[in-house]
Amino acid sequence: MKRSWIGFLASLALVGMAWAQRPDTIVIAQGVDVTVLDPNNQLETPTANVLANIFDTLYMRMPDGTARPWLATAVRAVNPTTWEMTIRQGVKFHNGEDLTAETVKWNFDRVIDPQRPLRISNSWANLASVQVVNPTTLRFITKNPFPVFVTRLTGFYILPQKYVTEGGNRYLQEPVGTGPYKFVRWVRDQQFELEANPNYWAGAPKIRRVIFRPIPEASSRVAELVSGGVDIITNLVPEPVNAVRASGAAEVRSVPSIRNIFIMLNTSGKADSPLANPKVRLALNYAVDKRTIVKNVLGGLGQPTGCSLNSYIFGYDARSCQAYEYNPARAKQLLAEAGYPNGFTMTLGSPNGRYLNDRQVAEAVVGQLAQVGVRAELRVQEWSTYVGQILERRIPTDAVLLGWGNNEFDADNSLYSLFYGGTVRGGPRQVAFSYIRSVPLDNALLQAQRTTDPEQRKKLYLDALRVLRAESPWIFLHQQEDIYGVAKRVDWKPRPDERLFVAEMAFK
Amino acid sequence: MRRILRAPSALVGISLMVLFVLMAIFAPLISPHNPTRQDLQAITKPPGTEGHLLGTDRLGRDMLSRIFHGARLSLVVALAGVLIGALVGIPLGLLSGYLGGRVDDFLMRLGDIQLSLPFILLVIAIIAALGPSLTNTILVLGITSWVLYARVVRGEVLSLKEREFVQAAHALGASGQRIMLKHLLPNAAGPLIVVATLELARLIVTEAALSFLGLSGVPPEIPSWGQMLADGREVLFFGGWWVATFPGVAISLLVLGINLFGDALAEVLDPRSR
Amino acid sequence: MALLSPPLPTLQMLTYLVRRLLLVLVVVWGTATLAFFLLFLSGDPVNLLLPLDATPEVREQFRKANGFDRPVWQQYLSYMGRALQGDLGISLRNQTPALGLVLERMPASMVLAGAALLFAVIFGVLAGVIAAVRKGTTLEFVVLFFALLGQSLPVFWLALMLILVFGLELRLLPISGYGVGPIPGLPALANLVLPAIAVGTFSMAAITRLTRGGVLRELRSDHVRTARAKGLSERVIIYKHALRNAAIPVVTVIGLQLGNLLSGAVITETIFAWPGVGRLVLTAVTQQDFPVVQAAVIVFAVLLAVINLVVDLLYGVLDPRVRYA
Repeated sequence: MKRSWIGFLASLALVGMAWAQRPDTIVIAQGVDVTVLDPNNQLETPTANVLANIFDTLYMRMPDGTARPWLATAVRAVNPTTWEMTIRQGVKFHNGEDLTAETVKWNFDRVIDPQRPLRISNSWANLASVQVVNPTTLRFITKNPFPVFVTRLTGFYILPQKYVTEGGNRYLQEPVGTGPYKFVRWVRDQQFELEANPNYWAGAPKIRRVIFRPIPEASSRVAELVSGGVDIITNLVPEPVNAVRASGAAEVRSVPSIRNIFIMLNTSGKADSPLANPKVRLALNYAVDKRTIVKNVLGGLGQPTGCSLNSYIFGYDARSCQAYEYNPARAKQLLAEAGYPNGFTMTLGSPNGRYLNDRQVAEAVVGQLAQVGVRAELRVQEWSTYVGQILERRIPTDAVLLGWGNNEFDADNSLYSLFYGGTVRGGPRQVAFSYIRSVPLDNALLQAQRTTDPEQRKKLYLDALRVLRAESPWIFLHQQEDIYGVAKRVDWKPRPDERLFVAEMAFK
Repeated sequence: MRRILRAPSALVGISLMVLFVLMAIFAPLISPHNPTRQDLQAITKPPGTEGHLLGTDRLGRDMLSRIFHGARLSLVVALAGVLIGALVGIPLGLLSGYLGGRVDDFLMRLGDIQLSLPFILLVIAIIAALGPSLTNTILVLGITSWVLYARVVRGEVLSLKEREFVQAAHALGASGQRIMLKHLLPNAAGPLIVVATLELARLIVTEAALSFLGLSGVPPEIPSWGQMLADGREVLFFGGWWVATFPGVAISLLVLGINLFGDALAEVLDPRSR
Repeated sequence: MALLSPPLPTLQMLTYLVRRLLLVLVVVWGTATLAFFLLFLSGDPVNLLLPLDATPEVREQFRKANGFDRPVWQQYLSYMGRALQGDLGISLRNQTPALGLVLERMPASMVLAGAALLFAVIFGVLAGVIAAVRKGTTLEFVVLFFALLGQSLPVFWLALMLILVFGLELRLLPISGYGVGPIPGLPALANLVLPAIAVGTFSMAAITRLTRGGVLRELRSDHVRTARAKGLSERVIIYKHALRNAAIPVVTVIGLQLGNLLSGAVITETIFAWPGVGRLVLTAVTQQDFPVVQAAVIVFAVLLAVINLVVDLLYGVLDPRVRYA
């Protein structure tokens, strides 16, 4: 009697052994779950990572950072405010609906409708209207010249018009796209299942089934990877890397990310406040040993930077983006010249767990500033409060540590967005991540946004970078790397844009 | 007191508490290093590394020194939190029990409401409004713990109110204030001390839990066991078990000490279990 | 079986019930109101919904579309108005009814709370009885020490240690997730074990100590002495008399802990990737998804009030001396 009872318990336990690897299924663990099933009404990386397997974009970001035609076959500028696009023929949605120019127009109309704004609407505020020229050709009319038109297409997903407009709320429960994987089921906070689309226009993917699992706790993610519960984990921190490799159960793969980490300084104080003095800001840049921080706090997984761009980004210039050398003597000298021979006291804000070892980086910076006499007090805040204060410009500290991931791979998104508007009447229109006030800078950034000639834009961005170099409105830190834990059986190279395209993966 | 000391478990408890209190008081004297001094060239060194008995953390700071100093924060936060909670809760409990009626209804419902609110929401809202700091963290922990004291005092008052000596004081014309402070409060002291001890343990764990969730307002330059544990958990399984383990053990031992002591105290103060 | 027969409903008891139910309403309303203003205090929800570099026009459009452009009191009144009709709003992040999101997570939370409580009661009562019967022995000391240790281990520490030992080293149990159980909607048993132990250990310790205290008191009481005099065996005495009379403190703890078990499992749910309400609330609060937080707060307030009521009624069943006034 007793034995059969134990046997029953054991069999129940075995039913639960579903965590063992299955040959045709890849399991991917991210920190948070998908939020919505409408790819054009979300902005979260983890959500996009899942939905990008179901839906296609018009242009596709390649692993090297370039944008390649995808559902669109070509785009050309007719004049500075008109673009013409041709659509791939013969593409069908998972429910059999055809992809037409009309479908694409409807998708854009939906995003630019001011009555019902979607979360990506901001990217398309410059779009005035879309016209269908013939079943495979469209014309886009923009309010102003729109040089980042093509690059933004890589973040614009195509939904099936009929299914969305005629199916009620079904598209929010069972998403239908043109992508390499079809939706199977989603149990919130548990798992999201996909299966291969054998009729995918670019060829059927190699892995048949996909399960995305949200595992919020980083240590649990690593434990799952090493014990064979999952195949890929995101957002690994650097320290366990060697131990995970040594375990023999999994590998660690990393890729320089599109995200730069920096400290924004409040330079808007009175003329006699330390941070308003460019010499002081230069001194701070010399006082921080970025190389040591990257080597030790980030386990070498990063690259010191000297500007807000990185090499993936259009407009990057290696010379003006060279990291400031670590030179505490020079820093002290500059501080003395600026009238602070004994340093000064400031406050620094930092998030906690938003970026790779962000709090540790901030603490390391504080330690290094102390060595040149600058006493920085660190204040750590929960992200929603932290970012809210920055957006509403009621930052309680003199400086804040932030990261900026340029998902457009164009300097516009890392320069205009972050520095423009200091001298514009009424202040910056958007929330700039700096307090810089420079007429030449504003002119260059605005012009670069209003011209479609790449050569001229490059020149304008070079001008802008030089102004920033002279003013140093930030302490420039580093470009971080994205670190993934990958099971040995999986063949995959991480991408700079953080996407997890399962169609690019295979089992060895 | 002698009776408490007779129980072996109480002795262990008191020893643990004294150990940690001494650790907190003399932290600067007994620490081999400055607890905030980083050495980026010597990060996450295992215990036994020269000069670092318990190893170093992810910024190369000495673990042993941080454990010593961390005792200060845990004890200060918990003691101050208990004090605030008691200072708010006891008067409200007295009023509630003594006056009864609408005052009682209102205060007790307020307590129910407070307990129904998710603690995380309270913390985030209050820290967002007041700013992150040690004081504000203590404030959150203190203010949110008043209900228990109020309920205990109220319960005692209700059972005492009808007793002869209180009735007599009333008949003799003693003021309400006098009755509450001279007659009711002292009689509620026993259960209150027990509750306060349990709360002390709870607040130490709660402070650590807030750090674990990244919601604590305690500035990073103050070594905190909770924060150390939170920092270390990412390397707990791989790369540096000691970073989270030592603070984890420290929290458990201190709380165990307090619980052992509180348990013995409860036995002594509760005549029924003698 | 006398234990389970409810007292006859009297007029007095009915009045008591009605009054208590009215108070539940007051508490729920008060909680929802306070939560509303706390959320307002915690920041502008539009901040996190849009890209950081969104223009003021787009932000304004969003505020309008979600009704955040109106004065707070108007937002409050319209929220309460809709809440009274059972409409708790749409999640800002998930674009789906907030109440549904909360209710969807309830089974996972309840299963975890139930399993944790079962674990706590079984082992807690057992340990408590052993400690009481073997008073003064080393066994008692060991049992009590472990009970106190259980009460002293912070749940996050315990959870990580459980993963380390049973998940990583022994590979006996799954590390995270709900698993696929034999019954749809319920977790795999193997997945339930570690989270249930993590959540239940604290309550188990409390129950051990209370049971021991209760049994000790009863063993010294007159009617047990009478029973002994009658020559009843020690085993019968313990189970029949002592244990039954020790039930009241245990019910108290269960009532106190059930509320904690349901809402306080945030950390456990996070570490074990358990799809419960605690994790939902944490995410919603940090994402400033106001409707979801609000819905969760209301559901919890109702649940907590009902649990309290049930516990109070249970006292009446267990102890006829308790009067409803």
